[in-house]
Amino acid sequence: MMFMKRFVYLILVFAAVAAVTGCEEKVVPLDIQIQLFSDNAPLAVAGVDVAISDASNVYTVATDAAGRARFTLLPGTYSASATFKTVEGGKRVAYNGSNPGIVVSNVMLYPSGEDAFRLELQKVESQQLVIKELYNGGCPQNGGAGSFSNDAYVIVYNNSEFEADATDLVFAFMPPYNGHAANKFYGADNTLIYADESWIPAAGAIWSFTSSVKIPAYSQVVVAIFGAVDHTATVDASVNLANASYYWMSNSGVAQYSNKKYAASDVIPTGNYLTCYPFNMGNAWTLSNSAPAFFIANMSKSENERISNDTANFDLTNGNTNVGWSVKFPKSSVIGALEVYSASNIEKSMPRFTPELNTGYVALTNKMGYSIYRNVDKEATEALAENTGKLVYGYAGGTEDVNGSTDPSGIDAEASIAAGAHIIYSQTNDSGKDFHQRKTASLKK
Amino acid sequence: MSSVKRILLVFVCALSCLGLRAQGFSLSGVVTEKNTGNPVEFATVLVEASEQWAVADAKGRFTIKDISVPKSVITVACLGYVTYSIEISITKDIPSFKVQLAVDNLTLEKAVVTAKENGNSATTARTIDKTALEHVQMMNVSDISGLLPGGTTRSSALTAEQQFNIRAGSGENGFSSFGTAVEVDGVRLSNNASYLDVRNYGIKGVSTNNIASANVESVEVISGVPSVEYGDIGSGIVKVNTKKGKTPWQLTLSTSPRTKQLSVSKGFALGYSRSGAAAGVLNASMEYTRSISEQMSPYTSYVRRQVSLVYSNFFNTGAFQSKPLRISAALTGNLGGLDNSADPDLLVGTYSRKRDNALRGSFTANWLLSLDWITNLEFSASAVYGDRLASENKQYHQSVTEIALHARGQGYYMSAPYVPGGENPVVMIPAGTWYNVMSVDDRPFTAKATLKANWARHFGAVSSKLKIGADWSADSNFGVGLYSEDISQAPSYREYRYCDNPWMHNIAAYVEDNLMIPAGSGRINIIAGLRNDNTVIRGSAYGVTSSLSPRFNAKYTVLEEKGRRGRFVRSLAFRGSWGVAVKQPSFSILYPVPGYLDINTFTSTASADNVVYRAFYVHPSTIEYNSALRWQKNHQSELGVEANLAGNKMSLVAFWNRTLDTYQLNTDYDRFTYNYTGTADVQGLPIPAGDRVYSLDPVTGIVTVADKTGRYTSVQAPHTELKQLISRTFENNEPGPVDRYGLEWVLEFKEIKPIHTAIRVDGRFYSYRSTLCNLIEYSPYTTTGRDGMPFKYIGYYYGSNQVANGSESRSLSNNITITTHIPKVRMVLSVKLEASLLNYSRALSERPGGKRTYVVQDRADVLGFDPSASVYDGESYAVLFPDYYASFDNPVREPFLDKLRWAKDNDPELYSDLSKLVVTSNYLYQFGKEYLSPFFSANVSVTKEIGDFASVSFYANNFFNNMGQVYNTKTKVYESVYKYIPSFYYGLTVRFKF
Repeated sequence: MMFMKRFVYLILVFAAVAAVTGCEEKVVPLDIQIQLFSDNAPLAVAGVDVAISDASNVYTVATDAAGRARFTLLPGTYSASATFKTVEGGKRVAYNGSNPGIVVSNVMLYPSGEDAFRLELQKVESQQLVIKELYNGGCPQNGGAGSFSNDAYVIVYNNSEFEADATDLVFAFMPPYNGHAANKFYGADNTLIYADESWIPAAGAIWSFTSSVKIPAYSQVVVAIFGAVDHTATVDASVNLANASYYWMSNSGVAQYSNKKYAASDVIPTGNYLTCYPFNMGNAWTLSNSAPAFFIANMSKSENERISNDTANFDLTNGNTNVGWSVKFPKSSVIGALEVYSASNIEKSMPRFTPELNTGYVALTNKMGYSIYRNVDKEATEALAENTGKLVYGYAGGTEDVNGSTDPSGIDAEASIAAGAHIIYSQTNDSGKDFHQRKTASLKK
Repeated sequence: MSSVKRILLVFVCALSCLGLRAQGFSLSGVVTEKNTGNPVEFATVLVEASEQWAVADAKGRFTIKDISVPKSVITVACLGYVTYSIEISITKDIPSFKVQLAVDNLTLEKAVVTAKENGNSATTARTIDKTALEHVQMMNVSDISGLLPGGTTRSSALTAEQQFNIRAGSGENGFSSFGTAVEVDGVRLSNNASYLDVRNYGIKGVSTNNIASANVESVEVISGVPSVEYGDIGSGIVKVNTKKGKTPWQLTLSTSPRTKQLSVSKGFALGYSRSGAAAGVLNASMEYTRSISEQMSPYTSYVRRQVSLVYSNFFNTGAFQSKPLRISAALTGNLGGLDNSADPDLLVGTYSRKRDNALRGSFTANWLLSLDWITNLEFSASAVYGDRLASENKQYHQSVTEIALHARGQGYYMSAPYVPGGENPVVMIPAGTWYNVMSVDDRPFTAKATLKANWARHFGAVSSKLKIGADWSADSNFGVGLYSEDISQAPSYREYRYCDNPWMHNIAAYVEDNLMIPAGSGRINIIAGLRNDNTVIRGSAYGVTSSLSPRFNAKYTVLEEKGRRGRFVRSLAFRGSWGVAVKQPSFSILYPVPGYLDINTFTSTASADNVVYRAFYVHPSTIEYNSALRWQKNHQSELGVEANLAGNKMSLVAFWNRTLDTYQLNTDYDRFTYNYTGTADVQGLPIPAGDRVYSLDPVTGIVTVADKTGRYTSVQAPHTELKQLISRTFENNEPGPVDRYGLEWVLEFKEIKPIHTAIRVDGRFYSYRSTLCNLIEYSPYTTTGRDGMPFKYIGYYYGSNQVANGSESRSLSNNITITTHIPKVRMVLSVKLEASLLNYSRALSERPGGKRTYVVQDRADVLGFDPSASVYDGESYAVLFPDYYASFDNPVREPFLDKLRWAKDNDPELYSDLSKLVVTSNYLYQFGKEYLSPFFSANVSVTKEIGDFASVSFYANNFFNNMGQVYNTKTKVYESVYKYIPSFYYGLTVRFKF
């Protein structure tokens, strides 16, 4: 019995010693590494802020050239996250992701064979350059005597905070000329014959810039489609396109076009003349003033040359003679698509773009001075810190009161831009959601 | 005595002296009305065998002397009466031949509301008389096409021009409607002086819109081989006869949803002179017709206001006692045309108007000489003048200076502000909005004079009617063509004065004999004739063109109806015809309106006030004279049989027509190098845009920019040399024949007396085939070459630069007309079922000795064609290669296909360019057989006379409102039947006589 009591006392002494010894152990911070990953591969991007937090603290460290952020942390469990935007191949790209399972301890639980925690980022792409506005429907002449439509223009906008290179931007449209015209590209099964192809047909000609064109963040370029002159001199409701910063589709420089009736103001420098790659159709460049399928693309000059001249690249579906061809335009090069239907012919209209490029349509009543204008991405625009106090709400420029459409964001984009705001426009690849019919062209001051 | 009368008297005396009076018998008698016994004044009595005639006087009396035929059919006719015919023997003087004429109305036992076969004719000829015309309520004389065998009813408005097109279809080669002659009371209406744009509209026949319809008494359609006295034709003659003779006042009111008509007419008997000579008859008629194209927008209208005066008389007293003379003079004026100025949908002040004014005058004298060597001498002369001024007031707008080109000379021109009285070759119109009226002054004129003699003879039982004649016709156009009253703001146009072109004269002579030979119980009728036309066009490369038109008709009447009433085969006749008809060209072929190629060689930038200068190289693309041009010929032949079997009449005609040397506009290319100055070449010059003055070297095209303020020195703008092919067009003959053949049948079943009903079945099978054979030059102008410069290659294609070089079609239509005529209630009701039982067409691609087009699977890989497969077998794409090609730099033709194959592997740039000369079909079914499923339409017409005072007619086309669909085997789609038959349509006409 005595042996048992001694044994118990001994255990208690050891326990007390052990307890006293434990309370006095020092907590040591540990170095950890977090490596950015994307699509299951290391993402070597420098300068990306990686945030790591626990219940009470947030620490932020920028990545090094290898895309790695180094932290010194007390043992514990943390959540890491990172987000950054960049431009890749002319596309606006956002990376973001988080890893809530960063356990810091003496024994780091890095993935097997690695020396850093993984922070997997999801890549979200959107085009940097967008069609902001297409004004193609014309406007009433003075006194209501007919209409005028030589004043068409298109605005391309840099929808990002990074400078955009538009040098290789291409402008084109798809056949048929009007959305409500007979569409020979619909096969017997009532689907587009190019639905599963890598191309879409382009009609007539394609245009590209002749000089280097850089568009600053949240800025735009205006391209006059027909006459780059002050149309308000003869038509009050029209627009003034005689502006040195504007570009011009130089119909007069095309040997194929015997009809060179469109002119440019002397204030527009030669470098702002676009080059045309004609392949057929008509004696002048033209664009539907009611229902075009208009698109922009990124393509090199040499590729423009090739697709316009290589007869193997021709598609004869829309032709009835040896001059009725379209060209096969690579879908992968298309960066913006706008499907416009004539408001009075919607029931007869059929989509021309394939779904990966565009779904939906926006209706246009032509000859009224209306234009097709892109809606504002309200959430993204309001999220820009620099926009605080600069956004103008209560947009009244839509045409919903005349059975048209309006911008559901309620933000008056042009007024906001004038107030110094940066506008991010909607990019859902659905012309019905991305565009509305504006009461007056934005250049109509 | 006037000189004219003096000459006439001398001529009469000379003929009397020269001629040996024929020895024969006389026929005298009286013509009275059947019911009343009243004399029928102005009735014409004709001895058919000897072609001698007389006109009844106020007491209905007539006398024909010196009849030397033993027997003849005597025909007595007068307006408003049923023509009476009887065969009599004339072996002695007949002093009291009595004829009773029945008034032509629905109390008669027989009323025909369809086309009647001309049983006495040796060729296919049909007549639509007053009863039928009133029953169908014709508003346009071309409406009667629906009454011909297999004809289909139209509900056309006058807002679109209508033409006759005999034994041909629309859209066919050979300009068949241009070859269908139309005559009104012997006055030829011609489109020869037309300048209608051949390139865009082809050559059409004369419009029938300005022929008043209410005053028409009958229409005769000669579809077969006509007499040689008819020249300048291709296929078929339509002869419109207006009312001539004493009539009561007649008031006609017609209405249909798109057309309203009011007409008044009367035939005035002018009494007799104190010497007993008849003063003649004056027929006067007035018609007002207004037609709109759409009921929903009744503002574009065509109006016809027509006044017609016809004076006719005969002279059988004094110098003319033994040689009576019959004359007729007519004058018709029409004012009207198309006008849309009332359309509220148009921009205020804008309009489009097209006059359709016409003045037609004619004179005819028929002198019965009854000499041993001449029976009748007939002289006729006519003139037709049209005023087709078309004016359009349009709004123009430009936000920069507009350029209007009026230069006609070849060379470079710089635009310049308008200078009053200056040459103004390229006018600058200031930016803004303006209106301008452009007009086309088109005033065609046609005159014709004919002298014709006939000589009726007998050789025993054989009779001969020899006809010798000569005619002269002349066509011209007094219009000045396109013009603007305000050239300072007129759009681009070039003056081309129609009136400055030479007249086209045609002098023709012809001879024809009509032999009647007894054969058994029947007879043989042989007509043989030859016509020689000499077309004289002074001052042009065409000079004198001579052509021969032989014609031959034979008819063997095996059994004649007379005396065979109880037999099954009551009459039987066979006939055959062959002939050549020559169609003179129109002015649009001889002197087409020149086109101009305007190459924009420079466009300046716009100044602050939107002034833009432009320079042009103007290349007149006049259509070249082709001195080797031959007049288009139509070889006609037909075989027919006519029979009366137990009272059922049948007629069956097979025809085959081949048109040769059809007119065709061809193109060839010239090579042209010019200097081009781009807008960019002058942009940025130190001279401010508003101070620049642009000038141009008219020879080199080099642009010089000067400063109007003098601050800067002048600068010569840089330029680039560009090469361009320029097309030229010329009229040519297409060697490929146009073949048409067909079958026409008419079955008139014996009337079912108890129900007063007759059934008629008529129909037509028609086949057409034509392929083109000329080697066609073509260079696409809406594309550039691989080098970005204007396309520089020309392809030479067999027949056409389209995958098809021809087409064939076949159709079978059959009509059943059920007519119920109840004389007691003076009413006739007809129901016509029109059936299209076969409607076939197919595109053709053919060449002798080989394939013209090939089957290709992938149209982008044209060299992957299958050389053995036929484009006619199944659905496939077709590819056409030119036989040769030439380039701007090398005009020598080289075989195309071998070069294309070579270029594919060795010269990608050449391959790309030559590929653009390759033509592929756009549809898999391009050469598929196109059959339309049968379709039907039923029309109802009723005419009711209310005493002798009034009559009412009503019609309803597509009475059952067939709105069905037609299946197309080529496209495999259903189409609305309205494309082929009229939609439900109706009309009402009320006529009063007093």
